[in-house]
Amino acid sequence: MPLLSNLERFYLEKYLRLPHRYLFSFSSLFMIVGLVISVMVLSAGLNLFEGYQKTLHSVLLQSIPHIDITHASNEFVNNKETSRILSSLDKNPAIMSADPVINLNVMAHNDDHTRMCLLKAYRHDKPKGEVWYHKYLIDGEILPRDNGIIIGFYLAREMNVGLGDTLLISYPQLNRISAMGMYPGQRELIVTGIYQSGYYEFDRSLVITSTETAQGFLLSGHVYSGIEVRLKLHYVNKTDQLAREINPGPFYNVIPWTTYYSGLFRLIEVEKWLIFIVFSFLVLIAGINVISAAQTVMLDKRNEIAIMKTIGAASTSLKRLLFLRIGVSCALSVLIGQAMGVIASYLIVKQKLYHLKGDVYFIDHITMHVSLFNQVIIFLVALFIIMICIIIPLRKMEKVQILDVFRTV
Amino acid sequence: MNKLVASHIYKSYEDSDQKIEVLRDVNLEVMPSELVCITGKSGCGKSTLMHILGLLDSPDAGTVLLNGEEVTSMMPDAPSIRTRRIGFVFQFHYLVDDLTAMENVALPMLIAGSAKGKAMQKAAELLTWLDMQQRRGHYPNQLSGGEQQRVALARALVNQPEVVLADEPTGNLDPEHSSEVYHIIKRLNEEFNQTFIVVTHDPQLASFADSCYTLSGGILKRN
Repeated sequence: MPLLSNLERFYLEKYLRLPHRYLFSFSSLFMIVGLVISVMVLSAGLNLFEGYQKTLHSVLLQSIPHIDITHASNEFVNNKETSRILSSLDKNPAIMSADPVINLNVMAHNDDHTRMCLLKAYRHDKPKGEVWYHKYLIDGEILPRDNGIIIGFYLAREMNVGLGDTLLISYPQLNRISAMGMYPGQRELIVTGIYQSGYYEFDRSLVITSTETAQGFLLSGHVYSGIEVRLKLHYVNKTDQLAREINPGPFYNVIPWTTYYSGLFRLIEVEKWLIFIVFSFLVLIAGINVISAAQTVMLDKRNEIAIMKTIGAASTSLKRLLFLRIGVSCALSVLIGQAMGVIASYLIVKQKLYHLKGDVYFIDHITMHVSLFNQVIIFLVALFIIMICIIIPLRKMEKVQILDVFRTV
Repeated sequence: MNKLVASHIYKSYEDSDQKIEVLRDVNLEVMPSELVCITGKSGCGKSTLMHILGLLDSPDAGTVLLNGEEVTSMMPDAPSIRTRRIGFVFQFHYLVDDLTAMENVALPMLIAGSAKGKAMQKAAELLTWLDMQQRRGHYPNQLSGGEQQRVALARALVNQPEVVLADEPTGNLDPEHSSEVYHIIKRLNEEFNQTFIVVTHDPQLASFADSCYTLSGGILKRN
């Protein structure tokens, strides 16, 4: 049995051929405007949230190490052990880079400005293109010279320093103990590069230097805090499995990035769909207009309904016709709303008045992503809500009595 | 065989605890290709009789036979019987505002399940016969009263019904357009042997009829 009868197909063709005549009448104006606005808000909200989620995911996974290998008791790892672990990672095709690193919490000072930072020291014995922050460098040199540091864009701004300026770094030094307790060492380091990864936390508080410089002021010899493993991007989703396969020895922790961040991404995912549900209520409210518009159409078309029943149209068929008429205009309104949602989210991304607070949202700029899946979900959910709203008044179609209509004319 | 036979039709309404007998033992026989006219005062039950003959209402008692088939007991199937076997013309044209003249005419065929192309072709033929070919793309509000009624006539005929029931088809028209409609009905009756039952107040239309009845006090009498 065909989905639409000849009569329904005939009407549908008419509606689609001349939508301005049949579908967008004055009586349905408020219904259409309500639907377009509510769907626009829903679509824009989801586009922006999807953009945020995707950007944060991308920025984060291109900045942080995907797997950290550290000593189980947080001790430094000597050069020999480090080389042994590195050689065990050599043949793993999923690994893009494995870098021995010294991690140190330090304080950066310049005049009255002070900030707690994380200092990461890397060996700079690989080509520039293979250094993970290579693509984020916006000024200066990719490889810090002796006593040189690369700092994030926001840290440079906050400390009011630029290339060639010096930044006083205070660091804990275990062998410097006074009567008052341990006191830090200090060293002036020269800013030789500035990077901007987009991940606000790094851009504001990460200081990169060479292992030689760090080992020099730590007086620690050739030791490392651990090894940072970065995976090829298409393996990132398999990090947990790959981390389990890495076996550096019994005294080491292998920590995938998901340990720290999967909760964050789950939270964002949940928030996204919560926003979707909340905004769907707007569509539901707009649906009230659909109910009233459907009732108006039924009243307007009472005579036509009666005459069509007279010439043999079944109530079910007439219900389907009115359902098509209102449903098609609603579906078109939803599509227009979705398109306007894309435009609205684009305009929001392009505006300069409001920026995200990086310390709250991890990234400082608004982004959008139009996902086909999300758009299909929006369309289906909006259509489902609308369908219910149309069906409610159409149930009264049975009550339209031909003779009552003829008698009242 | 008679085209339409109504036997012992009774119909009454309750009005504030009072029973009003509208039709009392009404009997009517209409022969194939006959033009029958029913007259009577306003409110005498002419339209009620038409509604019963057209399966829009059911009688309290009595039967209606269409080509020998008893149809009063087939009320659940009334829509399909009305689509294929009975044509309707009303005082008010009741055209569908959203459809052009040609689409209005094609509507019963589409309801009956015919393909759009076939329905439009048949509608175009009918409108041409009614000298309306220039107006077939016009919407009802762009047509005069007479033209609207001609479209309504074409719509009633498009499925080639066994009988056309016309309830005061000229009641809303001026004398000139009324005369035009009478002549069309007469021509359809003569050229296509179309059976008509026409309810009217108008003596001129009654004079066109092959047989004429008067309904008075619920009783139908042949003149």
